Amino acid sequence: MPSLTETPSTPTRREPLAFLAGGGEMGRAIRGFDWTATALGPPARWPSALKTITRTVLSSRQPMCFWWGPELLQFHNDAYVPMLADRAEGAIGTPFPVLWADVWDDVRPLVEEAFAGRGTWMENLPLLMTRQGFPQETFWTFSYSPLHGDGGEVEGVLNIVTETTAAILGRRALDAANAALVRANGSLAEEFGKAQAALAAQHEAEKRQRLLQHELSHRMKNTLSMVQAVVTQSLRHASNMTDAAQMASARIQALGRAQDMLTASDWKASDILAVVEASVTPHRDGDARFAISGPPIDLEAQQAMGLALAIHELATNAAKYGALSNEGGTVTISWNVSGQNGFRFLWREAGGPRIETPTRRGFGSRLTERVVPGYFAGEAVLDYAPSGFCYTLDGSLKAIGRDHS
Amino acid sequence: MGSAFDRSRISILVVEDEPLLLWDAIDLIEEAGFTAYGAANADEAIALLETHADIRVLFTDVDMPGSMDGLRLAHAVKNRWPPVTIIVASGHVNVTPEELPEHGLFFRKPYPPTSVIRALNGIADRLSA
Repeated sequence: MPSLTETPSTPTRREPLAFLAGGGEMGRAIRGFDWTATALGPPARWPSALKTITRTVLSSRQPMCFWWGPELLQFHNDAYVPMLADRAEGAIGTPFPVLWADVWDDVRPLVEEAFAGRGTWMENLPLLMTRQGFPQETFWTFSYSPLHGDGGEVEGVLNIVTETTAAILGRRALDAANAALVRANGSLAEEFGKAQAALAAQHEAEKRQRLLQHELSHRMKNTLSMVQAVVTQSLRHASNMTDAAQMASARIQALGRAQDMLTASDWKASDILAVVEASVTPHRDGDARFAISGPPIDLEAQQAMGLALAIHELATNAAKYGALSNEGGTVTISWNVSGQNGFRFLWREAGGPRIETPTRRGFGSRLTERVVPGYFAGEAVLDYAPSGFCYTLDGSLKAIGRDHS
Repeated sequence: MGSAFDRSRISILVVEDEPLLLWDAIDLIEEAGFTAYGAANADEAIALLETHADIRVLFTDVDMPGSMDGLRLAHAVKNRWPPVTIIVASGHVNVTPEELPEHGLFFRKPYPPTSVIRALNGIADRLSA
């Protein structure tokens, strides 16, 4: 280290204050301080241990300070000055408890440890420190080490220190930013979840809508097919076009009334009494014409339609040839259930003109005798008794809810 | 020649769960000179096929209650009675050719009666050729 020996400030043994030569601003401050007023006395008479540590600290670029003597007077190097901030002015030679009054209570146990001969090391110790005139949160990683005097007793405390405030606050800001990010992510995920749920609900509604439209289209096609069958059969069985048109129109209206009831019940079931009443209503010309009785039954959609078609034909025939064709004729309509799902429907005419078994089977008789029993998986009997026509339908009731209309 | 062939010897099995439509279809087929059988579901249809060897055409609706719908019935019949020609009708399902058995025909309901009769006549001509 030739350059060191050449520097003019290189101390020599002959000069008593040589240990304070150089040492930067703080070296000058120590030299300029009046130590005679302190317990340490003039530097020239300081114990060699104090001189050595002073020289060591002043020549180091690592922030260091130490406190010496019973008053714990402050010594530090230039590198340490930023740590002092506001209190840098006149800090040299000030007792620790005075200079560091704001943190003294916090560090005092560490000082006491050092005086007991034990070093301490603290990492990122938070200290509320007054800087720029107001208290600020600061963080310090530092060690307190005992300094031994010439006699071997602990006479001072060496503080090697790094301020970590910037790093800690930086990390804290990073953590906060991370947490905010996580929260933002979380709420984003939540919003995304909500949006997805809303989409799913909309999708579900659209699916239901499509299903409904599909179902509606099916019913419409089925109704059109039935209308087509009614028209075709009416044409086939009518003696002339005028009759055919009238009969087809009346039958389509009967289908329409039956559909009204089914629509009102969501196409699942119809009360049998409502079906019967609606079917005979167009043929009522007085209160005493019809006697209707039977237990309440919910008719499955297809069966309700079939029964409505049958009653329409029976009433039409009665109005032409039977009990509804004269003044005093009556029709007794009744039904009952038996066993698990056994069903009997009766249409009995009385008081009409004397009738005869028709020679030709028309639409009405074929429908009531051969087609309508199909709705009830049963049989029908058309009895052309001279005293009055009687229609008996025996079959079984379908379970409600299966919609194959 | 097809016209010389006795159509009543060709039987058509109609499967339809709506009795009014079944009646109308049977009437239509009988009026064209064929013999018609009616079934309300697949099980009834199979039972009829097992006892009536004269059935040459299955004319079935798709939407039916019971153990199988019309399409499944069509395939079952094609497998068990390969010579039986299949005609499928539906107002509900848009049946694609791939869903039908080989050489199967499809009619959308309500179907035009004349088209069905034309198809049946075509089948009759093939059978008598």
